[in-house]
Amino acid sequence: MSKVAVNLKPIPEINAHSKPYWDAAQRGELMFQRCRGTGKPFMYARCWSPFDFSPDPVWEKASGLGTVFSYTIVYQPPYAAFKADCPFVMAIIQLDEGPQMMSNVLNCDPQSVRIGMKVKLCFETRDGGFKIPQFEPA
Amino acid sequence: MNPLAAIVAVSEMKPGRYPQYNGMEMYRQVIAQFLREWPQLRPSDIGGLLSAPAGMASADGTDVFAHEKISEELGIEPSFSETINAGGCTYALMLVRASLAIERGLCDSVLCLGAGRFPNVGSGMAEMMSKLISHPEFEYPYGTYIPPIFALNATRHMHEFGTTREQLAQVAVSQREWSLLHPDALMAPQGRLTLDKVLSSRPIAYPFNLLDCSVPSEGGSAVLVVSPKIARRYAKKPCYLFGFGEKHTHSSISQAHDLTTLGSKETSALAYRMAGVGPGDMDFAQLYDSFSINPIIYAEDLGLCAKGQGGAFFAGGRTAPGGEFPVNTYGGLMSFGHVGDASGQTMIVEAARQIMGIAGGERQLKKADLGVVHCYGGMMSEHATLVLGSQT
Repeated sequence: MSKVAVNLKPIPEINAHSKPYWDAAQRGELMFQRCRGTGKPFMYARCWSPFDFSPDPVWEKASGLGTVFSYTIVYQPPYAAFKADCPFVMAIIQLDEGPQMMSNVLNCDPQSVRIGMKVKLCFETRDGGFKIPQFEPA
Repeated sequence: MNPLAAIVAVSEMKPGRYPQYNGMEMYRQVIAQFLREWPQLRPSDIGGLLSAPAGMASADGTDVFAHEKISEELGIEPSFSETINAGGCTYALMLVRASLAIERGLCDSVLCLGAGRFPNVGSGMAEMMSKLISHPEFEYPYGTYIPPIFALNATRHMHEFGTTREQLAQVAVSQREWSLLHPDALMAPQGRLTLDKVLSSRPIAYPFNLLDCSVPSEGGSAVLVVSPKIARRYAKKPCYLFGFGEKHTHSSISQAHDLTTLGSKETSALAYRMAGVGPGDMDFAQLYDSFSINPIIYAEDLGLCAKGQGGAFFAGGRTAPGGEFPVNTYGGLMSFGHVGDASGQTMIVEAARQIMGIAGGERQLKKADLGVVHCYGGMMSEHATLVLGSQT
């Protein structure tokens, strides 16, 4: 009897305006948006620019490189789906392009994570093959 | 100083577990206790009513018509009433809204009510909370929940300013000392804390151990706010509101512009300016403390010490009973109990008791003429600072 490991951690409910972000993730890419008026980059997905309200911000592919802006090592799981991962790292990553996003830092000893550490994009596959953007040490 | 409004009556349930009460029944308990403690009040004394949603974050749903139901049961027809929510910041904002309504003549008095609880983790409630307190699409998938979110502020503060885990632990130790002087404090029966006890408690989310975290519980409170013109009809020594500031900076922690200087810097500046005072004039502070890092950041943002010196501000028991500057004189959320969003009103109740001179026993400060209260809601998203005091 073979055991199939199923990753039951959450997958997001995707909205129309954020679909390009999650579609890109399934292709192995990380996207952010740029304001058509001011040219400033931002996250998370929006229908308008938070800088000047200009509509339909442009989607742009991120380099996938970033820095740990802050982090914590989680010892007590939020709920059962994260239990096997504990201790795991939850971090705010600042992309080289500027915007910040929530992530875990995978594929390393949680104790080795530091603020200012360089990280690069990777992906975690969850239930149904759904890919979640993640980061690992660069 | 020009008083904007006056608190003349307060009461608070003992924090604990009340599984037998639903959201509305919690409100009934709060009100019944308030009426027992202030038996001279009649329905005609309540011109306005503000409540938070009943049964927030409970499995049986949230009632945003709480104000209607409570008013009907009280037998009042208020000329100013609504259910409002800004998390723990709600109750400071109630005081702000009440003072504005009173100033514009909508009513002469407003009863502010809160009754909070935490959901039991399990059967999907933890997932629901995660989606509520972090971005449901872009943060929730990473396992976000409340302690690690605040840990992000703490780690960054340690990185920028060299704040230590011992300094974080001291906040818990000092607040436990205050709670020993409060007859209703949830953690008082556990006795004194030491730095070692905090540092050797079970890790939750670095740098927080269990004793760096507030204690989830249930409870609620009531605050009667009236026009300064009629305040002395109700209380010999009312607690006046002299200044306030309000700011809403973000929802998702990853989108906050700064993790170590928060909306509190701006709200305290506004509040002090309105009152015509400065941080050096304060006799005490009540600083919302879900976790040990929060009062450290607020002491800095409120100008009680320089930016980056918040850890040192709490060191050596400076804010504990008998110390130089009292902070969270009831034990804070960490030792009195964290009664959900209603904790924002616990702080106001305590500040009012100190200023009115009714805190009782050893807890009553010798000098409590002016104090500052800072509440936040969400993930340090919504901020309000109040300057409260005794004289006019």
